[in-house]
Amino acid sequence: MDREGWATFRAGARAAVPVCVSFFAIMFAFGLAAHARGLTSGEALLMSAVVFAAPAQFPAIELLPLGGQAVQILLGTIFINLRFAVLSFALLPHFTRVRKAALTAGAQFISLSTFALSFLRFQRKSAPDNFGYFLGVAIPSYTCYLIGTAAGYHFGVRIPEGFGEAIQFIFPAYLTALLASELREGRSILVVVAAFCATPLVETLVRGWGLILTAVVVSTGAMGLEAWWESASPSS
Amino acid sequence: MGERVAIILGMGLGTYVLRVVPLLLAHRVRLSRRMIRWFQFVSFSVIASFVWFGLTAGTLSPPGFPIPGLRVVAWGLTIAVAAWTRNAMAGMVAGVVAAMLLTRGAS
Repeated sequence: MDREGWATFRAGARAAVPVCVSFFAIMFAFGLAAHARGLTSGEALLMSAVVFAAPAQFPAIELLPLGGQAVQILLGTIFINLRFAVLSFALLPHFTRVRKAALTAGAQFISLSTFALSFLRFQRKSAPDNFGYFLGVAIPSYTCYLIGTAAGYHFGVRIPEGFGEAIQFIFPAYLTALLASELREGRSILVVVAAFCATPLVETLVRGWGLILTAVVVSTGAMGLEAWWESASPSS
Repeated sequence: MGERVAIILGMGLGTYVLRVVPLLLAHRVRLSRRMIRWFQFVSFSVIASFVWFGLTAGTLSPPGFPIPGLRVVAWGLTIAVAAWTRNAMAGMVAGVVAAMLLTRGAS
C-alpha cells in the first residue's frame, strides 16, 4: 500500500472510532451472555470471528445449549443475515477496480455499521481508493468486536449472583433497542409487531419452526399487501 | 462440543456466502425492488421473533402471561429510550440497568 493508500486507510480508521466503541460494548454484553449460557470462550470467540453479526449471534447462544436446534439456528442465521446480500449489492459499484481475491477476503468485514459508514462516504466522495477506506473502517471495528467478546466473556466470571436476570435481558434488550432506534417507516414497524405477535402462535402450532415460518408468512404477506396498496393507490 | 463448533462454523459459512456471492456475481444477477423489499421484511421479522424468544426463553405455555412482569417494565423502558434517543446502545443500557434494579428491588 502506497502513502496515499495508507492515508485513506487511516481516514477510514478515524471515522470508525464510534463503531469501535459500540462494537466493544455490544460484544462485551455478548461475551457475558455467552458465558452465562455455558459456551466456552473458544466457542464465543469463534462465533464472533466467523459470523461477525451480533443480531444472529445473540439468538444462537440462546438456542445452542438446548441441543437439537441446528436447523433452526442455521436457517435463522441465514434469514437474519439476508441483509448482507443487499449490502454487498449496494457496495459493488464502488469496488469496481478491486481484484476478486481482495473482495473475497474483505467480504467478511461487511456489517450494517461498516457498510453504513463506508457507503455514506462513497455517496459524498467516490474514488478508486474506496476499498482502502472500507478496510480502514472495517479492520479496527472487527478487532474491537473480538476484543469486546473476549473481555465480556472473561469479566463474566466475576459477575456476582443476582445479576442473572439482567444478563438474560441483554439479548432481547439489544435487539429491541436496535429496532426501536432504527425503524421509522410505518410498514416495517407493522411487520415487526406482526412477527412478534405471530411467533408464539406459530411456534405453538409447529414447534421448532416458529421463527422461520413467521418470517416467511409475515414478510410475504406484507409484501403482497404493499403491492396491492401500491396498485390500488391512485397516485401509482 | 463438536456439534456446537460445527453449527458455529455453519453459521459463519452461511453468513460469508451471503456477503461474498453478491460481490463476485452481481454483474450476472439483478435483484428486483420487490425482492430487496422482501429481504428487508424478512430481516425485521426474524429480529422481532428473536425478541420474543429472548423475552420468554422460548416458553410456550407457562401459567399466566408468558413474559414476567418485571421484564415488561424494563422492555418498555428499552423501547422508550431507544426510540427517544435513536440510540440502540442507550436503549439497551437503560433496559438492562432497569432489569437489574427491578430484580434486586423485588428480591
